[in-house]
Amino acid sequence: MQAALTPKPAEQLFALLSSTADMFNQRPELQSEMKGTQGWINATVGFRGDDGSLGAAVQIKDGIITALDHLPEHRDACLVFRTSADFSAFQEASKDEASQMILKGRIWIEGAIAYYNYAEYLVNLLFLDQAKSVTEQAMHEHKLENLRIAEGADTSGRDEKARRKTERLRGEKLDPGVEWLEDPYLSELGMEDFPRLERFRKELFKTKARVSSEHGKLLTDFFVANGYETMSDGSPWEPSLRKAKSFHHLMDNRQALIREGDLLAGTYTPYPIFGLVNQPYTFGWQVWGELRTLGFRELDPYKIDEETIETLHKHVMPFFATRNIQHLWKAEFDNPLAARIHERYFAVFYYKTVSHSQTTPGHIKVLREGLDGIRRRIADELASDTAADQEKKDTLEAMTVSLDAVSAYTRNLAEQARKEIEAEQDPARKAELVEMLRILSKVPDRPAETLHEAVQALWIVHLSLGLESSDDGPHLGRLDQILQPYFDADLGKLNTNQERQDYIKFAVELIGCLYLRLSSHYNITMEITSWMNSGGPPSTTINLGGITPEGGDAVNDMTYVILKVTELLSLNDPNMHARFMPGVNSETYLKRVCEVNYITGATPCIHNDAAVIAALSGVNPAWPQEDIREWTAVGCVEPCLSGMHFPATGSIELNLMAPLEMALNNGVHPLLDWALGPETGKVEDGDFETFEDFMDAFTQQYHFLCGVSVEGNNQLGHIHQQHMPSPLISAIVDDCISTGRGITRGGARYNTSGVTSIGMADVADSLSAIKKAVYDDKKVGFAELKEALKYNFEGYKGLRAWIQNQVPKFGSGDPEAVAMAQRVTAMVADFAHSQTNYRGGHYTSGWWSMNYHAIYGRVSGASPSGRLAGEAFTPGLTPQASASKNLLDNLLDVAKLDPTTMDNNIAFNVRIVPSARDTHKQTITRMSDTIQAYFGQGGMQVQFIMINTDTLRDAMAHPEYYPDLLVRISGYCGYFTKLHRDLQLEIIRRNEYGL
Amino acid sequence: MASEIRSGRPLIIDIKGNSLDDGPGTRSVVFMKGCPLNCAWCQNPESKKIAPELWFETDKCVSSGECVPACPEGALGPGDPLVIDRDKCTLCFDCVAACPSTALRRVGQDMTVEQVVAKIAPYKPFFDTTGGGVTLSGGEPTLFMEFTSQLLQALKQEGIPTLVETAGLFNFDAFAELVLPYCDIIYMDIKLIDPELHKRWCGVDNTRIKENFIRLHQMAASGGFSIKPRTPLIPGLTDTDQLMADLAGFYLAHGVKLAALEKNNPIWFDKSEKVGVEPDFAPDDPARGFYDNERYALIKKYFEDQGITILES
Repeated sequence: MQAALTPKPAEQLFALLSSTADMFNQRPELQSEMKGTQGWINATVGFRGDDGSLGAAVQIKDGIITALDHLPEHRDACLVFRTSADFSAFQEASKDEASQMILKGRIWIEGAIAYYNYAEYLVNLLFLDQAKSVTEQAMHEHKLENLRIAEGADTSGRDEKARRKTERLRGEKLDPGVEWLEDPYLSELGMEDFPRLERFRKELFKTKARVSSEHGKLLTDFFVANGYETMSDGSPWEPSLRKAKSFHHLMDNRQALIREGDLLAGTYTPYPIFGLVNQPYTFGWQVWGELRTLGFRELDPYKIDEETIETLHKHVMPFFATRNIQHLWKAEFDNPLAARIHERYFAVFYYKTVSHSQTTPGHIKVLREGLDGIRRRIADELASDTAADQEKKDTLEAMTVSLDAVSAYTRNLAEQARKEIEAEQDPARKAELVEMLRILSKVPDRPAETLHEAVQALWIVHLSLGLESSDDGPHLGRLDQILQPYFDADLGKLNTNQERQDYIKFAVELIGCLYLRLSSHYNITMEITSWMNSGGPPSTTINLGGITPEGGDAVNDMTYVILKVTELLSLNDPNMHARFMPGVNSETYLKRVCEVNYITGATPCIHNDAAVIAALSGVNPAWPQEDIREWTAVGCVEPCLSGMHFPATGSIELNLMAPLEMALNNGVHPLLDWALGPETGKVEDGDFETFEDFMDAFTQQYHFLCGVSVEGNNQLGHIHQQHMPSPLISAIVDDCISTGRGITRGGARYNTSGVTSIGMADVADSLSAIKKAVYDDKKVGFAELKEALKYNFEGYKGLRAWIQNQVPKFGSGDPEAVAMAQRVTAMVADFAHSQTNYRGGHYTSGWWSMNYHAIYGRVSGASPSGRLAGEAFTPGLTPQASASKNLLDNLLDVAKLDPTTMDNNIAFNVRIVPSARDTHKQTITRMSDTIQAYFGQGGMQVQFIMINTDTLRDAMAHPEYYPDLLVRISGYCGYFTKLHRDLQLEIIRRNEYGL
Repeated sequence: MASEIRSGRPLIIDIKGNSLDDGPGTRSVVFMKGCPLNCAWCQNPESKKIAPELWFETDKCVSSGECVPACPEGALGPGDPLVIDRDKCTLCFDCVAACPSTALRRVGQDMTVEQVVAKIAPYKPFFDTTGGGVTLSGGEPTLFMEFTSQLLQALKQEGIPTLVETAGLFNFDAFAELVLPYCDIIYMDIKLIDPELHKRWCGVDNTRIKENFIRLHQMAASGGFSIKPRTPLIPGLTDTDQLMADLAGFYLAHGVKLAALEKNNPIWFDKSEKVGVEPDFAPDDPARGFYDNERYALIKKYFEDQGITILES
C-alpha cells in the first residue's frame, strides 16, 4: 500500500520543478535576477532519466519560469540521471556526495552546461540556507572523522618546521659560477632579517582569496561594444586581432595597483594580497551556479561581494555561456565522442579546456631587448618579408597591439606610483616609490640594467601573459640564468664589503617579493574542480641549476639566492624545480637543494639533467643539443625548451586503468556501463587463450581511447586557434615572428602536445597479476578473477591476499615486474609518438598525475592487482606502497625505465622520514648521496615529502597548527590542510621510508 | 658449543636491503640463524635457534582457511586469528605453501653465497655514494665461520665494504684467519661486564668474549679494521650503576675511547609472539617499555666525563 501512496519519481520531479517555479514567480524581487545587461537571460533546462524514467523541464523566459511535464524539443542544457534512483539520491545529496555522483557517472549534463549552471544559480537564491546547513553538517562529520584518524598521533610535528630551520648548514664557495657569495647557503640569514617578507607572508596565510570580476567584465565590455563573432560593422574578426584588441582594452582599463609596501608594482587582481582571476573563456564560466555558495563551501571557500556576483551573473556569464572553450568545442564538432568522454570524468581530461599556457616564453629576450626591441623585430620582419601573407601581417600586428597593451598598463602603474609618492609621508617608503617610478619609466619597454629593473620587468610581463591566457602558468623558466647578469652587474658597482652584504640581502628580499606576487592569485574553480584539484594554484614554475646550452655548470649566485627565498617563504607557488647534472653540478649545490627540501618539507623537486636530456634527444634526434639543454620543467614537471617551444604538456590526462577495464569487459566501461571501445573479446567466453591475447586487447583499447583523445585535443587546438590565439606569448617565443604564426598556429620552433598516463603502477601490477594468477600459476580462472573484481573481492579474500603478497610488484626489484612496467610505458609512448597534433608536432608521453590518481581511482572498479574499487592509484609512476619496504628497490626499478618512453617526464613521489639518530647535516648528506646513486642508475626525477605520518594525521584533525604544511601531490605542491580528504588519506597511505 | 665452528651453511632469516641502524651509510644486512648466546632480551628471537621455525603474523592473516587442511598433523585450527598448536607442528611447512597472504612463513631460508651476493649487488651504487656496505648479523655470523668467510670474500670481490656484528664468543684464531682479513668494521657486544650476571642473563660466561675484544681492540690500533664495543641498556638488568662503573673501568683499563650504548627497544616482544615464544618478562617489567631518555643521558655523561665517547648505535 505504501508504494501506491509514494509519488513516482517522474511526478516528484515535475512537482519539484513546479513548486520551485511558483516560488520564483511569486517573488517579484527575484525577477531582476533573470535580467542581464544584454537583456533577459533565457534558457530551457531539461531533466531526464537515461533509463527513460523521467522527463521534465523548466523554461526561463523573459523573467517568468515555467515548469514543463515533458522534455521540449529545444533544450539549452539537460541534467541527466542514470536512473530514477539517482534522481532520488541527488535530491538528498550533500555537495560532496553530488560531486561523487557526477564522478561516478550517475548524473551528467548535456548541452550548454553554463545554462544548467544558470538554473542552479537561481535555485540557490531560494535554498541558500539549506545549502549552508548541509555543508556545515558535512564539515562537522568530516571533522569528527578526522579527530578519530588523529587519535594518539604524536604532535611534535607542530614545531618541526621551526626546528628544522634552526640548524642551517653553511656552504662552501666552490661552484665556478658563484662569484659573490662566500657562504652560498646564506645560512646567516633568517626570516627575522626580512620584516617586509615576514609580514607579507603572514598576510597571505590569513587572507581568504577574493573573487574579482575585473578580467571578465572588461573583456565583456569590449566584446559587447565591438562585437565578438563579427565586428561592429558586420565583417568577421581576425582571431589574433580580436584577442589583441580585447587584451589591450583589459590592460589599459584594469586597476593599476601597487601593494602597500611592495618593492614590485602590479597585481593580478584588484586584491593585491590574494585574489581570484575570472577568465570566463576557460575556468570562469563554470562557477555561475556557485556564485552564492563559493563563500561557505568546504573546500576553497572564497570571498565574494554582492557587486562582483551581480557583474558576473548579469554581465559576464550570459555573454560567455556559449562562448567558452567547452561549449564552442561541442558546438563546432557536433558534440564529439571526445567531448562526451571528457564530460563524464572517468577516462580522459583535456587540459586545453582550462588552460593553454603551459610554456616558458623567452624572458631573457624581453630583459635584454625590451618590448621596444621586440617591436622593432616585428617591424623589421614586416618590412623585409614582402611576400608575407595576410595571416602573417595580422599576427604580427596583433603582437604589436599586445606589446602595446603591456606598455599601457606599465604607464598606468607609473602614474599610480607618482600619486603615491605625492601622498607618502614616510621618507623611506617615499624613496622606494621614487625608485619604483624610475624603473617603471624604463622597463619593460627598454632593456633592464639592474636586478630590480629586471625583476620588475619580468613581473609585469609575466602577469600580462597570465591575463592574456588562462592565468595558468606561464612559466618563469631558468630564473637563475635570467637574473645572474644583473646581479653580477649590480655587485660590480659596489665598493665595500658592507655594501655587498646589504645588496645580497636586498636581492633576497626582492626575489621574495616576486614570490609573494606569484602566490597572490588562484584560479577560480567550481566545487567539483576543487574536489578534484584542491586549491587552484597557477603553479608557475621556476627552474634552477643544470647545465648551460654549451654544457657547462649553470649554477650561479642567483641559484642560491633563489633557494634561500624558497627556504624562507616555503610556499606552494611558485613550483620549484632543481636540475642536477651528475658530474657537472657540484655536491654543494645538490646538498643545498636537499636542505631546502628538508626544511620546507616538500620543495624543490629534483631532476636528473642527464636523463631528461637523454629522453628529449632520443625522441627528437633532430633537435640541437644547445636547444635541448635549455629545457625547463613546466606545469608539473614537463620539459619545455624555454623561449622556443609550445609543448602543451598536459593536453591529454588519461586514466590508464580505463582501457584495462574496457579490455576486461569487451569494450564496455563497467562504471558507466558504456559500450565505448572496440569489442576485443569476452573473458567469460575464454576468448583470451594466452596472456598475450589479453595484452593485445588492452593495447587495442588503449589505442582506441588515446586515439579519440588525440582527435579531441586536435579539435580543441582548432578552437583555441579561433578563440584563444596568444599574440603576446607568441611575440616572445621563437620563431613566431619570423614564421608569422602564433603559438596555437604552429609558429614556435618546436611543437609537441603531451599525454600523461595515470595509474601506471596499478595497471602494470594488474597485468602481472593476470599473467601470474591466470596463466602462469593457474591459481584462478580468468572468469573467476573477473567475478572477484565485480564483487570488489568480497568473498575472495584468499585470492586477493595471494595476489597482493605473491605477485611481485613494480618497485620490488623483481625483474619480471619491471619488465611489465617497461612494456606498458613503451606501448603508451610508441602510440603517443606516432600521433600528430594540429600544429604538426608529435605527442609526448609522461607519467605524472597532478591529483588525477585520486579522481581516476575513485571512478575505477577493483583492479586485478588487488586494489579495491574507488581507492586512489599511486601518484605519477610511484610504485605501490606494498611493493617493497626497501626504498632502494623503488629507486632502482624506476631508474630502469627507458627515458625515451618518458619524454614528458615523470613524477616519482617518495615520502621519507630521516632517522632520528641523524643530525641535520647527516640527513642532508644521506639525501644527497642517495639521489646521486639513483641518478647514476638513470633515474629521471624524484620528489620528496619529508613529513611523517603522525604529523599528517595530526594536521587532518588540527589544521590550525599547520596552516602552511607543504606537501607534493604529484608534480605540484599544495598545503596539506587545504586538500580534499581523499587526497590527504592518499598521502598518508604513501609508504614512509626511513633514510 | 661455544667454540664450535659449523662448516655447513647457515639458514638466512632475512636480507634487509636498506638498513639505517647497522653501520655507516646505506647498508644491507644479512641475518643468519643461530646463536651460542641466549639473551633474555634478544632483539631477534627468531634468530636464536639454528633450525627453521614457523612464523605467524596475525595482522597479515585473512582467515582464508586454506592452511588448515594443508597441515598433515592437524596443528592448525580455523579462526580469526588462526590457532596454532606448536606442540603438534613438525615444521614441514606445508601450511606456508598453502597460505595466500604470507602470514605463515618459514623463518630460515637455505641460500648459497652466490644467492646472497646476487640479492645485494644491485644496491652497490647506494653503498658507493653513502659510504655504506653490507653488515653480517644474526644470530651470530661467527657461528658459521666458513660461510661467513666466503661471503665476506665474495662481497670484497664486488668492492663492497663489510661489517660483522658479533657477540664475541668465537675461536680467536679461526676468526683471525677466516673473518678478520675481509672485514672493515666489527661491532662486538659486551652485553654484561659481570661474568656471573652474563651467565645468568645470556646463558654463557663472558671471559672469552672480553679476551677476544681486548685482542681485537689492540690489533685494530695498527689499522686494517675498526672495532666498536656495544652494550644494550636493559632497564635494571644491564644498566645498574655498578655495571656501568665496571664497564667504564674495563674500557679505561684497555684504552677504549669509543663505545656504543643501545637503548632498550621493546619491539622484539611482538616478534617473540610470532615464533610462538613467551618472553621471560612480567607484563609490567620496564624492559617492555622504551628506554628512559633521562637515564640514558645520565649514563652517557658518566662515560663521557671519563673520556669515553658514547655513540647511540
